[in-house]
Amino acid sequence: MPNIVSTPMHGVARRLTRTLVVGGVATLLLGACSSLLDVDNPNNVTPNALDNPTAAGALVNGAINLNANALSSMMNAYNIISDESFQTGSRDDYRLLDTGGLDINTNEYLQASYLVAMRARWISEQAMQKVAKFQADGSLADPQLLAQAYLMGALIYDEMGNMYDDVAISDRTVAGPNLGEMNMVQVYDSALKWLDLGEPIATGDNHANIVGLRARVRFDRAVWLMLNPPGTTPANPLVNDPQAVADATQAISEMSGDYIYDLLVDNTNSGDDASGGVGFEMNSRVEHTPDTAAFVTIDLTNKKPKAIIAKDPVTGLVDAAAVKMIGRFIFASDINHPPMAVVSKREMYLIRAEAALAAGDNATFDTNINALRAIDGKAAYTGTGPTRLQLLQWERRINLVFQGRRLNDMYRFGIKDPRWLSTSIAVRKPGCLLPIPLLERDANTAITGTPVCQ
Amino acid sequence: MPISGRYRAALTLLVLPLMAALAPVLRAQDAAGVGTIEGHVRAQGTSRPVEGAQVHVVGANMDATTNADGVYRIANVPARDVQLRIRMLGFASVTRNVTVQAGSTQTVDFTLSASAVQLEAIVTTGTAGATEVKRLGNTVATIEPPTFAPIRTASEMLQGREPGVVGLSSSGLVGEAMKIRIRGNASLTQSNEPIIFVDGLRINSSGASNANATLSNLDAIDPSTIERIEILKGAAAATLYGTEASNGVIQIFTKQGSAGPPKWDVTVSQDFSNYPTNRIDDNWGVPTRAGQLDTLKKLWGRNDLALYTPFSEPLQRKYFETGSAQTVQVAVTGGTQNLNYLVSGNYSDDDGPWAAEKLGGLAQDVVRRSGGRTSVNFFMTPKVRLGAQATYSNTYANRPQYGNNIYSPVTLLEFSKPDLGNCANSDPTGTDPDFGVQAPGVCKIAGNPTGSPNAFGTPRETAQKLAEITGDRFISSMNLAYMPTASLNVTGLLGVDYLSQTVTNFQPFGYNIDGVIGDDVYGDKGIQDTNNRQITLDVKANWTRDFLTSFNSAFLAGVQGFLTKVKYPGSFGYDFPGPGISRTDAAGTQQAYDGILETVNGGYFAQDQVAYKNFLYLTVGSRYDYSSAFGKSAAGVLYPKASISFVPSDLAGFHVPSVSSLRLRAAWGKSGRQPSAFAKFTTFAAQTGPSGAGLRPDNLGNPDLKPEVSTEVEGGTEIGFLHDRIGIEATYWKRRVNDLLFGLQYPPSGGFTNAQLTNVGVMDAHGTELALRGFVVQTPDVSLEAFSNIAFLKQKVVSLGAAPELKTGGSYARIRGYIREGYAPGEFFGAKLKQVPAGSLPYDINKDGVPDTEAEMLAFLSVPRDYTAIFNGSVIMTEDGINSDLGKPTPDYTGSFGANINFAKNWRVSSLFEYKGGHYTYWCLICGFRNASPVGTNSKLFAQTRATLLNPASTAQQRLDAAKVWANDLASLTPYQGLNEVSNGDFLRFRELSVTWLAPRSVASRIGGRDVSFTLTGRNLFLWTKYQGVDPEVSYVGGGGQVGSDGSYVNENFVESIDAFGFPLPRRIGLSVRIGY
Repeated sequence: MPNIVSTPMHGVARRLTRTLVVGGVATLLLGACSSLLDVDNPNNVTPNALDNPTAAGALVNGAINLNANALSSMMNAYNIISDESFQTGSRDDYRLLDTGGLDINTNEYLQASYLVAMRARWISEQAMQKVAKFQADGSLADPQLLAQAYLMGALIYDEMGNMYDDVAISDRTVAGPNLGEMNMVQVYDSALKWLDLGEPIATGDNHANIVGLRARVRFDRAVWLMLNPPGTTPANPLVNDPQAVADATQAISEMSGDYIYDLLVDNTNSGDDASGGVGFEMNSRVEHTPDTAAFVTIDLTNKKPKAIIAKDPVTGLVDAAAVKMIGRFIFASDINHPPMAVVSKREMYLIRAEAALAAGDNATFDTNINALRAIDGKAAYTGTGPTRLQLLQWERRINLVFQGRRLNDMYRFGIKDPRWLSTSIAVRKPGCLLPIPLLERDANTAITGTPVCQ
Repeated sequence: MPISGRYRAALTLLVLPLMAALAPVLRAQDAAGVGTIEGHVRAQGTSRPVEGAQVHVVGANMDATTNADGVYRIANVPARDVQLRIRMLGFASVTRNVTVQAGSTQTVDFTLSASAVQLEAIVTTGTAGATEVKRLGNTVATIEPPTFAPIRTASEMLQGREPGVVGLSSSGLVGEAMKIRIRGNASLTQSNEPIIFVDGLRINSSGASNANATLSNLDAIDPSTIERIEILKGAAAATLYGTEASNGVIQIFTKQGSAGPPKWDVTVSQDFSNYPTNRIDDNWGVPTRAGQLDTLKKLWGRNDLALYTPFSEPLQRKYFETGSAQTVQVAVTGGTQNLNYLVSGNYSDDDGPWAAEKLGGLAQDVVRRSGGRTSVNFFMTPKVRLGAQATYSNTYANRPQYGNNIYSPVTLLEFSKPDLGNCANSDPTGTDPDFGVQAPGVCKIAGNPTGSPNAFGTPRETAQKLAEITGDRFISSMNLAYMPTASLNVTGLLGVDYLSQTVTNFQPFGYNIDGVIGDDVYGDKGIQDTNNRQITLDVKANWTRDFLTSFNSAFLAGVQGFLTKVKYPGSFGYDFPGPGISRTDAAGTQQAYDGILETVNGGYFAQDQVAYKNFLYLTVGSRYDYSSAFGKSAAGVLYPKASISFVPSDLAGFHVPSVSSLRLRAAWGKSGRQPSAFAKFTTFAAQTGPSGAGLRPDNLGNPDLKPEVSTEVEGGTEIGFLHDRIGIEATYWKRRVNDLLFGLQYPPSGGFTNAQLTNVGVMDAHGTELALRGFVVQTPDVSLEAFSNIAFLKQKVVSLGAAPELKTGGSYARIRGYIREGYAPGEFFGAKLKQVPAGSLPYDINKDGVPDTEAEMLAFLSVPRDYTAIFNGSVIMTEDGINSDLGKPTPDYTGSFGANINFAKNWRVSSLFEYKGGHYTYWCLICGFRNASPVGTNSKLFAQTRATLLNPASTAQQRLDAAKVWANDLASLTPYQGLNEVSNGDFLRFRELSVTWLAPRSVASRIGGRDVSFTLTGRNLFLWTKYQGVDPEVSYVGGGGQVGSDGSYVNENFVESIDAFGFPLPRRIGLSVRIGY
């Protein structure tokens, strides 16, 4: 036995042993003190804090900011599918979208947009529920917060219908089933329900926004019904929804000047997903570039837009509406975070004009289209030059540019992006939108059915 | 700063019991007479003095270390019969009985015989105090730093020296952090880095990252201060370290002072490095238009260019240079028998082989480190030793944006296509007859001469960006050892590791000097501070006693705690008002960040080791651990262990021909890995925006969360032959990790889109480690020591419960490693070319679902086609989409071999070769870019293929042949991720070579020195591999470089075999001069 020498304990050692035993016990007791484990980590908010009425503002702001984020992320995936922009960068999954391959459910930009959209949906619903409860309890200091919560809930549901073929509605860990591709009209119905609840509460701009968004949702719902089931171009692509027209008329009366309700994305909102948001991807990283056939010229050195060249089909001059609406997106003061339009007076005129055209009421069409053109000082349309249908398509294209309307317009008007491959889903099945991403399908056992759009 | 109650409590834990124990002792100091022991220590066979041998008086806190002459001296030894034991790694230990007489000096010389088996070496990590290796049933590997090896960092010291311990180099960027893996991966989502201690103090060994360039905090430790490193390889050995130890434990022991007059050691080194350009393909392009051809002739000054004729420019090599690094290390040690000290300082300046200055920006490739260390040991009495260590280090790193990063000048040079080069921005009117070209490859004012992908910027612009990491680190500890009797030993340690690190990114106002880049052209700056304070408290008592007649017990009990607090404030601003300003508060838009993370881990442990005679040892022990990650009311976790060691060769009468030592051992134990601090709780994070501060769902939370638990069993043997001149060590181990912490993705539609850590399943691993060492020749003139080791590893994800598989790389489509049941973690899945009948090609241009025939393809290729025509639209047919099994990212085996030779009395040559292999798949992402991406496509083979496809003069058959090359060798990335991107990653690398001349004493004395040596070193001298990329050690991300926003280490753990835009490891040649005074 090496190096171990047994030494009889003497008195000192015994005292030592006792001391050590006492010390050891004290050590154990002190170590067990739970205060050592009670650490201070003030970085986040716990769930019960959201039940405090003072959290109403934070909930609604969270919904607004996440909706802004979601719009930025969704437009990043969506714009490049349509002919509004095309791929110029390095990322392969943009190329898939650009060439009409929007049915690939592993696409990273689809996934990124879906994640942010689902987060926005959930927090918007939380905001509606909790703030409505505060209102019922009489503890809500500012009822306009509830109106804004309904506005955000309706917005994200409307955008889900416009962007995705199908969605699932789950809650935290509880998986919810998908609505089904043929049932997506329900998201518009939900949006309308909330807007109806919000409308009596809202005042001022909130009221204009709610009524305007309701017009938009009704219009988008009609477009969805027109394009589904997907696979054909509708014989009559025009929407004439009287309730949409009525809401648009009401909204116009409440909107002054060139009224646009924007959601603003700040720097902390971008980069919250796989991309940096549409502004960064388009204007800084230049992964995609605005359409050079109709919209802009670009600097061949850096592929950034140099000038807006979109021509007004009526006058043949550079279209002032295009200069404004494209310009505010690509030449924004903060190019990484351009404004994300939600509701505009321009769109209200377009809804009324289209309904009139669908009804064969050229005079009303001209009245509304010229009211729209007057916003930018453009010459009135008198029936010469482009047809009314052509003019409607053009005005929609530039007045709603980068707002997530173009792909459905292309589908219903039978327009194909020259970059779409003939074998792509965009060509084969007009009306098909982005699918539920694989990430959701893998995680959600409640999802059933096989996508129609594949 | 006031001390909080928590830290007062921690201090009390250490001081109270020790002071209570000390008080009576200090009154009862031994007043007996003392004497001195001194002598020489030499190596048997060579008769060379042995430097660094530890001479120890058994049963007392009295030690000495031999100097370069092999001389030791221990004063104040109690005048009585004592045992003197001498140990030295690589030699058999020797024990002598010595009678010390008061006032006299005993001379005791030793001759040590080299031993390839180290059963009597002393280890202290994870054991009951200082323990002989043979008493442990588990392996405790010991690495002695090779004296003259080409080692500049602590990480390099670990690389290739111990089977099962792997240093993953990451890449050849100067300062890039190495990842350390021991026995593979014991966790899917938590860090697989071992925990690291320095002299008993746990340190923060995480890496830092800036702009995808990583920096190791472990490497802030001056390698010259390291005396030895002990490694616990897994749960069977690391149980006493409890939670977080399942990936092993590395303990670094630093050099301590030795008694005597001051002795100075000075080392000055000069290294040169360069990249092995033979493995880097030039940048290729193909002129396809007449106007383009004219421009290119002017731009490159080449009249030999022709349409449809590939040409190349060395755009990457042009920015390489010979790197230069200087290192100075100074140490002085001395003292009395009662108090010794060691003070050292170091400075190193490493300017890597990337020629940053040629781009004229703020980006460089330099890493500078400096620091100092003080160690004092005070032997208050023969029974009480008080030690204190303090280390300060400063780190400065300035490297370019790097890795998979479109704003990296390195990446943009790799992307650059010489056929797209132009100086248009120097000739905006298009009227300059020189096309804006000043000289070949250089524009007069601005432009994109290299033809980098237009949208992203030019290398010159992105080199304007500054990416710095600065760090100040202070490591200090105080330890007390008290041995009231020969059988009782109490030790305590209290220490702190404080790291203040700042990561700065700055792009100046107007840095878009070529008019290409568009990102924040009015400048921006981001600062992220990290203030990391880690406190270690460790108190333990070790009581040894004999009982019955043949038994001995060594009982250990103690408490250990780690208190970590990290604060990370930061700010960001963009749009500066003008040039020259670099403050975030001067920017037009400003943001501030803040955060605090505090965690406390701690536990009690106890162990008893029972020995029967001197050949059988049984150890049982356990640790009970708490962690703040589970809340203050959560119960702890018990980690038990047991081991047995049997040494037949210590049995009386043992005789097996040629076998001089034999030991059999087995161990079983558990250890854990806890989740990140908040993973258990549901939280909402701030979601700011112009409308005001809001909230968003953040962490879903899991109240049932618990640590993942690793259970490991190992068995092995050590066998010595021919008087231990040849030794074999073999270990088989098997590990199961239960309750795997997995990032379970709940339906994103539930609102909480981040994956939630959940205990879901099981991962298994097993392996074998073999080490062979032999002292082949031992004569006074020549000695030769050869060594070889190999470690086999198999890992499999057994179960993920109900969780879906997990893709590594997040949503990034180009990375397709998977955590999937039944496969190795990180297994690659991607596209594999469809096998087609003879006469057909794996193309479906006509989209009829059937492979096109050669006749159909000939018809299609009867006219010129660009490569996109046989790429876009999923026209290439694959076997199973992108779901074919392409291989695993970890090799079956890793190992090293080498030799140390002494000859001609004063010459030493040491070498180390390292290898990996066996079903080892390396994913070359950069190859995919250079072969098939629109922003790359600049490889030679691509240029040749494209030229053939486009050239109107090509025949259809030539285009068909080109199409075959395209499908079989080039087509990659979406929608064919993995196709032509994976290849065999096996390699053999000549890692280290050193040639040392030890100047004769007569020469040294002429310059007043004690000893002088000159060493010529080489590192990473040669690489043998079939890997298609530049280097199978270039990894997607370096150590500590990619931790997910949810705290997940999945990417850090499993994208290690993906090569993306990194520099190859540079060859390094150096000269060191060491002088001792």
